[in-house]
Amino acid sequence: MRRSTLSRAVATAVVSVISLCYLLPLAWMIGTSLKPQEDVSTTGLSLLPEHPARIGQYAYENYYAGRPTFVDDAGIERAGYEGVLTSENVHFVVFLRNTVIILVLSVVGMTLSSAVCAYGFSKIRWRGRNVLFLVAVATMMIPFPAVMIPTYFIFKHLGWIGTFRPLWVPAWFGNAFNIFLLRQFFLQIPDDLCEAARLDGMSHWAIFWRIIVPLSKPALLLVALFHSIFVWNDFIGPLIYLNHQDQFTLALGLQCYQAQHGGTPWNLLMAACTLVTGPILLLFILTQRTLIDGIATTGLKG
Amino acid sequence: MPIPAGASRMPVATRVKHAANTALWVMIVLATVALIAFGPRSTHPLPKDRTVVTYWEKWTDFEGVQMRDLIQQFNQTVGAQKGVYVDYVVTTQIDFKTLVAVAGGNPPDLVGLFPHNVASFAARGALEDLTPRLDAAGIGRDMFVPIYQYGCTYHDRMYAVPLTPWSLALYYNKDLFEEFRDALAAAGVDADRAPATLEELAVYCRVMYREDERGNLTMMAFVPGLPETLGWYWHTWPLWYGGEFWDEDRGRVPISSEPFVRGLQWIRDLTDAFGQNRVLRFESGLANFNSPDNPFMTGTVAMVQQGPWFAHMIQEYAPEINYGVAPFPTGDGSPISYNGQDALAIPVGAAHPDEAWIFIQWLYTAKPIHVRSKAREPQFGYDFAYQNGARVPMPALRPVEWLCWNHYKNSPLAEPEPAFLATHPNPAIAVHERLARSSFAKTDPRIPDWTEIHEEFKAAYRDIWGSPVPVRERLKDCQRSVDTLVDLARRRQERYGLEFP
Amino acid sequence: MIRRTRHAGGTTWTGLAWISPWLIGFTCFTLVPVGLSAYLSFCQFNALRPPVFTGTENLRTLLHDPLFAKVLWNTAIYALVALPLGTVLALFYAILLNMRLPGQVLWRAMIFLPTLVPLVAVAMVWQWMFNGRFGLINQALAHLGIDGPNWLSDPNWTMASMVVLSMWAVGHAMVVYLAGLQEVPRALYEAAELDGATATQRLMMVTLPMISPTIFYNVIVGIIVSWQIFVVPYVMIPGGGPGRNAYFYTMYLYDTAFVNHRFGYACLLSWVQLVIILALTALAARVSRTWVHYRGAER
Repeated sequence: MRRSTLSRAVATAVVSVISLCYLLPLAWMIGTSLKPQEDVSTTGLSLLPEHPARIGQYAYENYYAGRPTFVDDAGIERAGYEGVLTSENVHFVVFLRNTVIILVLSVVGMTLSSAVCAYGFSKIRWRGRNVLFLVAVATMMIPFPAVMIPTYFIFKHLGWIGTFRPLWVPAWFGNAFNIFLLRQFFLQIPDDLCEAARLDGMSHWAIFWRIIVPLSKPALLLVALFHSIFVWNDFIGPLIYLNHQDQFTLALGLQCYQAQHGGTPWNLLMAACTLVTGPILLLFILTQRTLIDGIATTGLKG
Repeated sequence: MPIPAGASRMPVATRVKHAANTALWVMIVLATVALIAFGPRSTHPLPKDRTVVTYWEKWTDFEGVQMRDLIQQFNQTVGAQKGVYVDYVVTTQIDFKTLVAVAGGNPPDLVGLFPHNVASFAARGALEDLTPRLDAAGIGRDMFVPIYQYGCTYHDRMYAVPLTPWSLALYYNKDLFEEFRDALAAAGVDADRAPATLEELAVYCRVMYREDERGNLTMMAFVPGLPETLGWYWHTWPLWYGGEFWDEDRGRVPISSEPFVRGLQWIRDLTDAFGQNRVLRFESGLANFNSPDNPFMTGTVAMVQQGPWFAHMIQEYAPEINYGVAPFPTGDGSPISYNGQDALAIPVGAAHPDEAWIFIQWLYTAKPIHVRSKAREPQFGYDFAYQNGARVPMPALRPVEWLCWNHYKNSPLAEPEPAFLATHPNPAIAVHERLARSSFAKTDPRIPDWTEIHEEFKAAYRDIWGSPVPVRERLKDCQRSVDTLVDLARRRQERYGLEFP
Repeated sequence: MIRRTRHAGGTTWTGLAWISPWLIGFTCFTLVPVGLSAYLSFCQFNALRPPVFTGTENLRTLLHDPLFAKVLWNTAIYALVALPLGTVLALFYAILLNMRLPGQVLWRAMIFLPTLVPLVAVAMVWQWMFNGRFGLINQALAHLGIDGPNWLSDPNWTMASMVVLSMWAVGHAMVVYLAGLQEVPRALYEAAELDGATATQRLMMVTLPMISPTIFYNVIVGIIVSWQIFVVPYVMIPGGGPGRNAYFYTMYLYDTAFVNHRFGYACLLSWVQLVIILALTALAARVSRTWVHYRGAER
């Protein structure tokens, strides 16, 4: 018993050190977002600003209200700046709304269609299944520059350029990465279960909804999460399909915010990055809780 | 539905966790619905009764705000009269987006391109030839500053108009010069003026530096690789020795010719004088360009090669610096300068080219106007400007000059408004203007595949800057690859029955 | 009443009906662009003028293109190093985090967080991390008495910096492994313990075989993703850095297509990339037959 406690303690120490290493670059990112402009420096490792007590004020300024022109310690008048959320040019809350709309439409479609296709590729034996699956897997390897312009052309003919449709409609047709992932999980579900259900007269549709889906909740949640992350951070699609700033998504807005002449001030840029990362982190944490804590109901363990 | 194996035996803790999770999910769903239903949406509704001209531009920040203000002026005056509404859309990676849009058959009506885009887009038939329109509007070639007019030309036709042009000069820190006065005098140069030749610049560099106790450099006179690794204007070095990017007679890019070798050898001599590794390390420690930590602002670097917008940055981040502006030192001291301009063009296939032209025409031919712009901070004045240190009323300027004035750039007009120069927010604009209008002014060549050739050159430069490879040999290798690229490019153009460049 | 059912398989039509979403999407959005790109590989095309058929000229250019050989080599080395490293690391973290240690929700979030961050932020933050003078990595090395290199400007170290960065982004694979690990029936572990198996034996005999399908998925996805690495090195090490040592295949592909306007050649490059990845995947699939076990009892 003692050995196992010791090994658990060692494991905890190891994993905590590793996790902190992983967090460090992002800790710097968040730390920089809480500094006033004069404290931002790429020299030296300072996670906190000169006056740590004023972090609340700096956070308020950088993220929201901005800072008016002020006189510094040397008596020189310095220019102020706008906060991220009240920036004149870049409206992050509008971008958030756009991103959320695309996300909801996209993720629902992706999860549904990928699950359905994965079922077809795993739980039904039919001629040509393996060949078509190979083709599907091959589509994962197509680099986007090769097909970008013809795809744009197709959307232009459908009249979808300048709308959200090119960003979420294709998700309703599944995606090889997610189909592949779900297939791997579905293949783990014993065939006897499905055979027995077939013998009982259940149709494929019923088997899918009543047996496969409940047993695959972790995998389905994973697919939803991964696709959410992709939609959240995708900027190439929005860049070429959206033509009006009111339609921009968060990732694209962040690109525009960053690409100002010579670069945006780092504290504001890091604040914007932190804001953009926040909601999707929340989604991840929630998904993880549901995934891990909900395992007891899958029925396969024990 | 199969009953979960241990459902009835779930402990309270797990049930509470499940309940908490469900509650969190419900809250997220409600928040999402609320955001979609009640969240903020369109902030700039488009008018239904006018032709909408889409204008894609890359400017955000104060430059974007000023352009928007200018466009608003147009929309309220001439635009209202003629039923035109210009819609300003900011985008990143504008050349990429424009290429995809034009290729996909959905281009904007107006697009603000980078200087190097004009030749390649024009050569591929993506931009409308504006020469007939310019002639009809009475805007002759001689209306523009020659070097900027050339920058928007391809095969002698104008495919864009210069929007906000600039020229490069040397910005130097007079206080640092003062500090090293004795050392400079001992080396035979004068601390009261900027270096005029590259030889002198090398002397300044060798004399003006500081290092810490471990031998790391903490200050240098000049680093070619600013604002980022390699800098923005690294390829201009051959120009200072009288080199040209395109050899007309032999139809090649003379990368291995003497001016190129001398230019890059100058850089190699600089890094060798201090030790390549030390310089690289120093350079990598230089902070973000657009911040109060800009190396010039903090006195970490004494001289930089920048355009007229730099005065704005100095005013914003380090107004206390005592600086001067001079022509960039050249091989023999002649006023060779490097220039460029943002270009405004109408893509082929645009939905409303005529209306787009109305805007361009207004920019260049409208009478001088007053436009109040929100972007000017109180200390720089909403309604006033400075002339010789004294406050004067804001002058009326032609729209394009108004924009350049506010962007701290040069004027594209051969005959600028006198008030433009007199009240320009960059006190040293005269230096930039003189350089741009001199016959020694240079810019990038109008070669359609210049970007690809440029990248080869950049790779060679990067190697020379960052590794000990011998300069002449590396440029010879580069010449070989560049010649291949030029041949391929020529063949490609010939297939369409066109000539190269 | 026991109805005479069809075999648990079903007809081809049933199968096609179930995969119809993918099939329709494939036909509408993928087939035409891919077919077009196959044709364009034999053309000269700059996207703005009509394509001109040139036969095998692109192929001949490819065979004599030193840059093609360079990027192929760079990408192969990167994939060869980053993939096994990433797989082992992700698996290691997943197994550690599956042990129900205190605070594991936090550790899991911290290791996964890097994959959520926008690539703009990743490139900027790591540009600072790799800074030759003040970067965190070199400062840490300095504490150990090692003089760190100029990660992003030294030709010998640019590739290494990308490999280090790839290790930072293993959260994705780790989460997939975690999900897979959750599926392993506890009964098997208990049985193994009763049989007197040590922890290592339990790992090798129970855990790994049981999650072999997820390992297979991550290996395949890892091959594809590491061969297609693009955005971060493009932003962080423009042009591939000195000596072009960090110039990867998709960066070259993007430049050829969208910066140099040579779409015909770019299409050929994409097809070559596709064939290479396909070959590697087929190899992995062939090898997988020996070590991947699906509990569903059939493939």
